[in-house]
Amino acid sequence: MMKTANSIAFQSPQFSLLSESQLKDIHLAALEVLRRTGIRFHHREAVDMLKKAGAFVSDGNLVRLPARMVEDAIASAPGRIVMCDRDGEPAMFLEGTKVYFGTGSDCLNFLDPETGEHRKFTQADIANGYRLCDALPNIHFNMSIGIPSDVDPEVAYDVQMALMLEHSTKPIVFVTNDRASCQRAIDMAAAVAGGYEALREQQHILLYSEPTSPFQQSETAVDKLLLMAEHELPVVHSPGPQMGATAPITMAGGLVMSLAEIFSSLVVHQLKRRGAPFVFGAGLHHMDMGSAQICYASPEFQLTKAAVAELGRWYGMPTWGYASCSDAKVMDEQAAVEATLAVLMAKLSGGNLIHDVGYMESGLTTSFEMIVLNDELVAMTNHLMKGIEVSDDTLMVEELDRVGPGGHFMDTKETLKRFRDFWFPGLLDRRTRLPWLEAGGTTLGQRLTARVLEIIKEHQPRPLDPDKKQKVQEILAQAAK
Amino acid sequence: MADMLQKIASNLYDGDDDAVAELVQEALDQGLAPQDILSGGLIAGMDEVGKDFKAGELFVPEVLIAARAMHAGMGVLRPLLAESDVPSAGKFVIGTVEGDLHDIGKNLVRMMIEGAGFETIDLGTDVKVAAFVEAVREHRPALVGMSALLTTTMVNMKGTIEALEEAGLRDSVKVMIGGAPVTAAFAEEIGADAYAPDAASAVDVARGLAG
Repeated sequence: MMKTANSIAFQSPQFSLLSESQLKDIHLAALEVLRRTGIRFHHREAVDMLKKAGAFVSDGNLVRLPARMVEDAIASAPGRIVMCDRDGEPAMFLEGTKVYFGTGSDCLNFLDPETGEHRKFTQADIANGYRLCDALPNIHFNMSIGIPSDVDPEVAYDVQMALMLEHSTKPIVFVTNDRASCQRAIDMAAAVAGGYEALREQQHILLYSEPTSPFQQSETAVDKLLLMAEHELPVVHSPGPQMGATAPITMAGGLVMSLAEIFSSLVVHQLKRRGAPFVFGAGLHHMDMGSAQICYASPEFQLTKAAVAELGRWYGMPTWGYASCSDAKVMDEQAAVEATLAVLMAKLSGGNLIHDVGYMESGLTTSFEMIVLNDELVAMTNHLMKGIEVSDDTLMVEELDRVGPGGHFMDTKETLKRFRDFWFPGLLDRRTRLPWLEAGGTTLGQRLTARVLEIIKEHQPRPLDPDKKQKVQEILAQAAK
Repeated sequence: MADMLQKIASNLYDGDDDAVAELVQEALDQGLAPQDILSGGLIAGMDEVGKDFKAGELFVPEVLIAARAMHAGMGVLRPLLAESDVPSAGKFVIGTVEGDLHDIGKNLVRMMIEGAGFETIDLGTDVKVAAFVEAVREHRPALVGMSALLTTTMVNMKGTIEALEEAGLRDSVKVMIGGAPVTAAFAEEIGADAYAPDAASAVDVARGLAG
């Protein structure tokens, strides 16, 4: 069976990386690694649960899993997750090849659009970022973007959640440091949703956490994973290894390791609460052996992301991916090239939650201009994914006959009816030189900055109900104690 | 009366050529002066179209059907305007130069120019120098427009200007040129009066030269 990412059958561009037998080989290799090598769980409750369910435990916390436990967990994980916006309206359908874009989390540094300065994030900056994303139609969910340097680091994650809930209505993918802060994030979201049951129904927030490659599960990560399972709120527990450093140097080997780590997480997660929502994801990067840095935009990363999306769909689970993240230091030509390739590959590969939009410098810095560029690129590739409609209506034999040799099509009824079906760019310029010069003769970079500043100045998200905001602030105040 | 003119302008904006022709006739029947219908209805409507096209709110096909509606309205008005001795915006001879069969840009300019109230004489494509000269002699236009897409054919624009000079007609017309490879510098070099980078600008340039 051909695994395609086309959204309109037999019409969209089709892209498939792995054959059925390749998918199976990777799957079976991961099961063998889980049976033979195992995963070290630094979490007592998890080890006990796994042992009771039939895992082989040795050396205190090294957990090896028989195939049937993995197969059970894959079977019990739900095939789709619907995430709602802050008002409880469905906003993202994590299923099939539907692709949604969102920012990254927790960058230390910010490229200030006003001054171009590279500096630490403040609360005001990240709030501006959430408002920016709230305004952009092709940014579908928020992550925290940056760590504010003007708050106590102990409560930075709580501050992020409070600000995301206040400054945007879009679904949230959040990160926290431990079980207590994860609980507070849930509490805040529940206060906004109108209770824990309402939050469970709306699935407004999704936790991002990670195993520690190779083959380790930290106590805090598993704590959070299990807490989310108890609340039946969605998680992505996504390894982020570097091939050649924390993963083997081949992409197939990296995928096998990623699968083993994902499934060890999924098994314990499903043991805690069978059917709790889980997103299949891995960020399989490699180490650039010149700079010793993690690559966020390599061609290999494009391939591993496509493979992860394809594998996840093969298992019938919602999937996680990356785009518009760059290894460039500023919003330059390199950043634009890398973003374009990544957005195209994300659309072709059909992963559901595509994050890290705006990441520069291997995830150390965020550029708001990059987020706006992503919005434009998604609009562009949306049209690419429409493919070519071939039907009696579109073959235009009558129209061709009407116009005939030497005529033109500029003012026909068909042209009038359909010319808007083609893409009109927002920020890319198609004018001739003189009108372009008259309008300021700007580069795309200058237009991106102007758009960022315009949105930050003008966009006001729908305000959060004052009573709910008060409750969120109370939870935040408790965190600060 | 203002209502009637407004109605003509808005139907023109929507590109409804039948409605515009009918409304112009209706306005005449009500006793409105042809020149008022022209300026307050048709030209007012086209000005709105031009403004919104430049602002990116209207697109080429919509401008062209508005121009077609203008043309329909002019069809009713023109005989009467001639009687009442009100000049139209002027005559405009247009063609793609010798050796060049490309006409989409030339057609676009022609339709936009018609929309601005000019009476156009389209010589088509692959127009020989002598044919341009003959058309100028016959129609006495205010303007001649030449188009070329190819770098190899744009040089033939110069020949036309020289031939107009030799025929003693050069001072009677303004010459404007355009096409993808053509530049303002080239226009100056070959002695054309003006250059327009695109169809929308061509309307402004033509109005400037004719006025």
